[in-house]
Amino acid sequence: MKRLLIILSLVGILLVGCVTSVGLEDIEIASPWFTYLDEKPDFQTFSVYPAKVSIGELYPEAVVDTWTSDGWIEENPNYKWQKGDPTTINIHSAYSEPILFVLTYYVMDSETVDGGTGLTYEPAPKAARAWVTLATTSIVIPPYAIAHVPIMIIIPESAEDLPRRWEFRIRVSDTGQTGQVVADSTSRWLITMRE
Amino acid sequence: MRSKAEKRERSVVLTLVLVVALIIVGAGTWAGLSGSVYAGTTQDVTVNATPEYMTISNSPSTFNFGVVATSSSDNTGNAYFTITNGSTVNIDISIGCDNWSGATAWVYGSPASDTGRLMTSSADGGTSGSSGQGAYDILVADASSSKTLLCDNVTTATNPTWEMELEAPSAFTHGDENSTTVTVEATAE
Repeated sequence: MKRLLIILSLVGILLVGCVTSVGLEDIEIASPWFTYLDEKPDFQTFSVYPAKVSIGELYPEAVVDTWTSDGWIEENPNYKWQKGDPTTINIHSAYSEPILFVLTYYVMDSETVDGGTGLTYEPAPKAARAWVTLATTSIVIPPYAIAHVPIMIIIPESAEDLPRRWEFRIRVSDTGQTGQVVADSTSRWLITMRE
Repeated sequence: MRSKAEKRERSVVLTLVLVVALIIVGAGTWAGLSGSVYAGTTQDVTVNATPEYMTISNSPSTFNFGVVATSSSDNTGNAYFTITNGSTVNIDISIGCDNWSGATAWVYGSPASDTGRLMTSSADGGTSGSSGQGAYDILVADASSSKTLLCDNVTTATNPTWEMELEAPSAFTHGDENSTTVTVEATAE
């Protein structure tokens, strides 16, 4: 009986240790999902939203993976999200057949300006590539469907000397366009670190 | 018939089992047996999205300069291309290409032996983009560089036109056909 009590106590202590030792590296990103629509939208290739995301008060060890407020686009009732939904890059395909889309993280060569606020943003630090996780970098989207691709940002505790404001972009390309001139759309992610 | 001491001991054991079971359930629910967790955005971090979308397409999707002479500057003609813009936000349009390809590929750059590049312009250059139609003042960026700004702050429902010029190599060491894919890219202003 005493032996049983000791074993049970040890098991409990071990489990508590397992729970408290789960770190930022264990955080899992949500999987992509689709909104299926029957009608072709009134554009030729695809749309991307949101066009621009501003994240404020970010700091080392912070996690961004859910919207902090509801969002919707008046021009299309299907373009919406709720507070607490995974943060996503959303791609609405106008193709009548399944098409492969590619998402690419990239950084500009020089500083940029947010046309809405006039604020200047530096290119994201090289290390930032590892802080930004896309649930997938390629996805086949069914005809006329909207793909919701989660994106997560985790700034490690060790991050230091970060620019006050920095930007990265997610470019969306598709394989449905043939020919020598193609069109892409890119979502801007503007980061402001907490002072 | 159990004694009081045995009953008390049994009660303690059952309590411990219950506590351990609750810990297991909690750990499984929160961490998962694989050790992964889901997290919400850290409190006090604000995530504001511009509630707008971008969509552009370009036509025509092909161009062909045909047979070119050394040091020539053949062009498509003004407003050869039209970008259909259905975005609900003002956008910038940038342009780049994926360098030359062919049986013997040219180098992408200022005209030199087997080296050539594309220039472009637009009537809708705006403040910081092309200076105007037919100017051919914007370099179509190569694959190693960020795309070049062609049209600055294009308003919604504006469909920019643009044209392209080939600055051919100053000398050819072969007659192989060369081609490239040009990409126009929309980003929110």
